[in-house]
Amino acid sequence: MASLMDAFNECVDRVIAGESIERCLQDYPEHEERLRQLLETGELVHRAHYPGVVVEDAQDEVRARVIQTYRSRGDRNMRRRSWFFPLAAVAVLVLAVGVVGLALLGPAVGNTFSNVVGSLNSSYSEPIVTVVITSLDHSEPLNPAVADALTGTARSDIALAMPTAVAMGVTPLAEVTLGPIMTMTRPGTVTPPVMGTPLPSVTVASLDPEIVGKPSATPLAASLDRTATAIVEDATARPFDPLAVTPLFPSAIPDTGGVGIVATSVLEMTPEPGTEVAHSIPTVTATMSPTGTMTSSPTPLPTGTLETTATLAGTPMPPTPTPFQQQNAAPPTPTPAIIPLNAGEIDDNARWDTYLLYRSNFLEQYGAGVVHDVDVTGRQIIRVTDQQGLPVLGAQVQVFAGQTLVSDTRTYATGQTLFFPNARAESRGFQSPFRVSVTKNNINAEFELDAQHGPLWEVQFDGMTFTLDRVRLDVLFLLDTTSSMGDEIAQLQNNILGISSQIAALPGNIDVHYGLVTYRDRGDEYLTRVYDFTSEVTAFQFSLNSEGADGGGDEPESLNEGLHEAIHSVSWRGEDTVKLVFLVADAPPHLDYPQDYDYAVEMATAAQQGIKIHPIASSGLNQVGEYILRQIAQYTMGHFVFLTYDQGGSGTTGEVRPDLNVGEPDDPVSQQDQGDYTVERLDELVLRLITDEISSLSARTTTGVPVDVRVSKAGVEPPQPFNPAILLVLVGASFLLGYSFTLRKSDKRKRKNEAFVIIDDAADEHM
Amino acid sequence: MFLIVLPDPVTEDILLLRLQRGSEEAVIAVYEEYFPALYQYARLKVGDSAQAKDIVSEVFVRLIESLGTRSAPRVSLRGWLFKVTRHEIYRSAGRMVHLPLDDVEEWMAAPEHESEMSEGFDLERVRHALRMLTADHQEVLILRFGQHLSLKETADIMGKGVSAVKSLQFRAVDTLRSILVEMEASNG
Repeated sequence: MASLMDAFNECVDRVIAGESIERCLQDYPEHEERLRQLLETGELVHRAHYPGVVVEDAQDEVRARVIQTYRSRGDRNMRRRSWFFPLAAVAVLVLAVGVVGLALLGPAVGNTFSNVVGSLNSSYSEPIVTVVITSLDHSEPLNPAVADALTGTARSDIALAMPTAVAMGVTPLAEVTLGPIMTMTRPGTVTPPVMGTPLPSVTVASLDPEIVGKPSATPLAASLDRTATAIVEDATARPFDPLAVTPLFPSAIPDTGGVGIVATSVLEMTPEPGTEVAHSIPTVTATMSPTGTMTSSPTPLPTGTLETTATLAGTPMPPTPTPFQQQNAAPPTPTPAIIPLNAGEIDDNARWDTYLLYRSNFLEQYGAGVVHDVDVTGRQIIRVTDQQGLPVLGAQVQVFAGQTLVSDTRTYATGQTLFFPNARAESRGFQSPFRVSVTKNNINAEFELDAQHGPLWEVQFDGMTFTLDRVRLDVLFLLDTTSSMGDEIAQLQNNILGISSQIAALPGNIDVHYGLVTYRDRGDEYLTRVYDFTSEVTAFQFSLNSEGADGGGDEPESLNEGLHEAIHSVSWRGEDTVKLVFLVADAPPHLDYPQDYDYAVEMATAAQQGIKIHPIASSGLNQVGEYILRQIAQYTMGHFVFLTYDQGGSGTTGEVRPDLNVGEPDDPVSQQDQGDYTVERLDELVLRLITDEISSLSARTTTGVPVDVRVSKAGVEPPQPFNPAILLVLVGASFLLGYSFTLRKSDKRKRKNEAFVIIDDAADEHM
Repeated sequence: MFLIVLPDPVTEDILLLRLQRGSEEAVIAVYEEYFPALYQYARLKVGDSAQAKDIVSEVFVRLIESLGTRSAPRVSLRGWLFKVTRHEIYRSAGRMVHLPLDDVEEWMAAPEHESEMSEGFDLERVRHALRMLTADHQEVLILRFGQHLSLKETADIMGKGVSAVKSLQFRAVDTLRSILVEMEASNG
């Protein structure tokens, strides 16, 4: 029996094709009444069209404007053509002179770069309100340094605004104003929230002159979809150390003036696992009313219990479990023997042509609208090494198109990072070589990158030996814990437990921190749970063991939110740390939620922070999900890992994965032309990915002052110094010669045509 | 009843070809063919007649300016026009244009045309109920039920998958019906 939704969808198609509602209802007697109501409501929408005469009047009125535009455009184009060549010639000359001047001045010229908030040029066409982010004094664009200085409150909101800030060159419609930011002192005295304490707020105000100042024009609005509010405080005034502060934006209230919305935030504080907690712990129940006022009241709890309660606008929320380990907590469960799971792996960056083929096939078949595609064609690989030719971890690599920052990433443990010239509007089609600035330990090198001569570039810091006291490794597991993962979550947990024990047992002086983020979907018991990094593997295992699969519902899940939390809400250590995320999922992210994060932005942020993401595809992942997980892996130089089964399907360890575009195991010529893979035990594969990553960083010592910087294309001798001014002058001169020749020729033709006109006119007069 | 009849695909292909040559007649032909559909779309979304006219006018200005450039329509003229209209609507009116349920009559603009007055209160109520929906719900209803666009076309314009549009249209109709029922109850 078809579901009501299926019946409805089919009937809609049939009615649109001209069939009557009655005819379609006959095929679905079990849904007749409800179906009729829905279809008749749909028909009302069609009937709600404005009358023909209204449309015709509007059409008559606008027609003249359109024709006028067409004609004036023709005139403007004529004028543009007549000015173009002389202007271009002058521009080339000025440029040539400028470049010669710069070349003469040499390194004395400083680098001043424009303030770039940063953006991804996703090809998806979700038009959201374009925003301009302002700084705290509301008067100037936000400087990235200011952004960094802000608390997570501001940053998380900026991240929300980022997809809109990119905006494909559209005129800004609104601005986001960051309200007062609450200062947190940590560790230190954290006092319970006081009535009337100014909370962070965000105002989105329209810049559209049609809206500003016009009450009830078309107010911007936002939905109340973030509701968790939790404030935990130690009654003995002994602070948790450190406090993870996660501000939320639970509500966005339409401004009655019709000029925008005000979103107000409350703070959530979560003690880190392993924190010593007093035995008498009160909770503070924070209630947020729609007007943004906040009340709080401490409630004593039984000894040894830590619990938070959240309420928004009178709606009770379920308790939010807070990840921590109590002083008297039970010891973690001993790691059981690993239940083997098999997995395959694909490194799309190593099989680049195959990946591009897969990408274009997917986009052709499904269209770019189903994912947030980023144009990764023209990929450039930049590798940074020290004087010994060994990779440098955490070097900042910034790429500029002219004065515009178009890429900002950090090198991974392999010393590599990627640059995608076509990923952003600002860099796509940029003709001149890009300028690349590489910085590590306050040492800077610059070189020019001509994408035509890539894709491999090697930057070697002569005279510097990159060193580490010990290898620092941050490993975070990001888990989809919705019910669709139920068939495998226990085995995956078991494997991750085993993996964490194996990591802890790795030989060498490795300082490992473990983190865990779990996510479900909106409307579920929780959206995300964040267990910040801990050096105690047992604490991590305790957190992992407490998780189970539930919720979900529809196929996509809140992967965007989970990814955001994994990148922003845990304490990643500094640039000299190997940072890995293993993302376990069986579904794509929701791309239809308002006020959601964007995985494409998050993966760019990961690359910016030197975080590598290895997705692990569980059973049931659809084609869109596969594409997105491979996007994330490719962009962050991770590997796409997938569980494999035997012919019996998911949950049974084997070697095949027929639902993915991954070819056949060990089949050199796959019929899907997507390459082959080998099958390993999942725990061994993950451990290998980790050890591969850290192997090149072992046993280094700190020394070194830089002497020289050598930049070369990988595998090729360093290019001879070449002054671009010479090329520009030559091009300019040829251009001018050509143009003067064309001018002379066209003048001749013009004079000739005029002569014919005179002759014709004269002939007419004599007819 | 004023019905919108979009050009069939063959006519559209011919129009597109003519347009690519950039002649004034082609631009006018496209204007005459598509203005009604685009105007209805914009007007249902924003409500205000002048604003809807400005939006559609801007769409055609952008069409003219795109001729001969890489951003000109190449495959689907109708898809291009609806996408740009959608973009202009958001640019002009913001991401979410929806009204509160209370005091709906206060939000209802006075009819601007005699024929609008004669069509009665009910259809105007439907239009305003439409504007109380979320942007996605409004859009899927207008494109699917108002314009009779296919699932694929609607999905392309909205930047979503076909299955997402299916579930969206179901929820949107359901929500619209609830609002209409509530409005009817509150108005006796």
